[in-house]
Amino acid sequence: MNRLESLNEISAPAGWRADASALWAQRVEAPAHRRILRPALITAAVLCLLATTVAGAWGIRSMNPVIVHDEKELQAAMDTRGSCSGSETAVGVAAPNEEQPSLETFLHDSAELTAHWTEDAKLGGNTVHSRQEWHLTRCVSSEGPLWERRAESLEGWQKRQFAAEGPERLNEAEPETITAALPGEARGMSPVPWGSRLELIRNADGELEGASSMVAYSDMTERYFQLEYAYEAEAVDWGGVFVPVGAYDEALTYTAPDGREFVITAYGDRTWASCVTPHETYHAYAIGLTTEETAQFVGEICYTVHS
Amino acid sequence: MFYAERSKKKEGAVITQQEFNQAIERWGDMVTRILLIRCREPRDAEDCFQNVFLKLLTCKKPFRDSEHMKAWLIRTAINEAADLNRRCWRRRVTLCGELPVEWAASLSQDTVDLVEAIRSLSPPLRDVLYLHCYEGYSVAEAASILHIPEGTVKSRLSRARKALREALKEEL
Repeated sequence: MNRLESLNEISAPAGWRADASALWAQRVEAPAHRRILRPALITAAVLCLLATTVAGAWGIRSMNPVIVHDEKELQAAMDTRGSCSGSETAVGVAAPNEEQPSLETFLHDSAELTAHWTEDAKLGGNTVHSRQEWHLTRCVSSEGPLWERRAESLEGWQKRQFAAEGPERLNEAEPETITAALPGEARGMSPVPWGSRLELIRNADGELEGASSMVAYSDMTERYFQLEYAYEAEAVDWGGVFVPVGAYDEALTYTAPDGREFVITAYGDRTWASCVTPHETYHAYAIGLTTEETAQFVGEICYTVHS
Repeated sequence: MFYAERSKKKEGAVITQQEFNQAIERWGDMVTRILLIRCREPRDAEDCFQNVFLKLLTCKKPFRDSEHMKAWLIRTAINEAADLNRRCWRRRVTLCGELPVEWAASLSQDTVDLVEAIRSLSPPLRDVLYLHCYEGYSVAEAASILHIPEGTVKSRLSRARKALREALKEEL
């Protein structure tokens, strides 16, 4: 008997099947009033679009979530989005994400990351990137204010990961490639220790394929702010996400002094801010900050890729 | 009515509701197995599971037959799991072999041991092992599904078997 036959025991939970079956209904049934898909589905819709991306089709322009006030406006926005993409477009309608991590979760993850920084590198191996499988990892440094480890694929791609004691240290990682304006303290909050991270991925020719970074701030009591930045060398169609104003307490746009436009939403004590372009995305999330404070915060944080 | 209108008007939609539900019924367990040996946590696997079938729902690719769809689902499930790890900074901590308690509780000890041994392998080794030794795909078929050369499949298979033999202390 093939030992692997015991995998037969594994089956899809009934709930998974039911939820998957319901995807069809969510596509073809008319919403009663306001259609709100759960956050996971929004993510799924966006992921779906990644598979049908036509590189460069969007040029350099905002791909921010679109604020809509009623179903008629939503319909028009979806039609416009669909005709622009020229391909089948899965869309998502935003809803407050109640599954966002708390400061406590973030601190736990940060502690886990730093505690295992060298061990993971020694494990040698299963850090994953969708474009490559990373086989060779090694810790470059695990002392001082900026740590680094690297992973390489058999195809010659390379990934550099950095964890920094504070955000300003990220500018020392690879300043010829990426720099960032990152405040030290802001709105009564300080950077979360070891909450600043950066990752750079280069292909076998040494060309930058992508970069991502995260910074987090908190007053270590209730107020928390985190921002994730990503850069993709190849233009990406991130898909259509629509924000019905009725789903949030507030939904507004904010233009930063440097021209970047953010869509900011708030629900209860939580706020979100997004700025999406074909090559760059900023996604911020905050607890205990007003929309004005979140707007100011994201306006002060700006990454520049020198490629 | 916009969802209904958009869905029905979409040109190139190639799957019917019946086919979609049949795919979930027929291949849902297979997708789950792939995700279980690929994902760190059950909630990740669940998200990936939904994403795989959402992609099937919106896929414009016509499938020649059910085997073609099966291969597509395998590839999509593998990509979904890899993409998830890539996107989530929280997932920087690499997958360890130990199976989360909520998963392990529903399986026999033999299966838990096997799954944990597979999860301790690197993702490329897991994929070829699963496709060849469990799904019964030939080396050439596995190479085609994974988009890698046959020689790579063979070498990964050899390494995977060796590692798994050592982990399980038995022949496969």
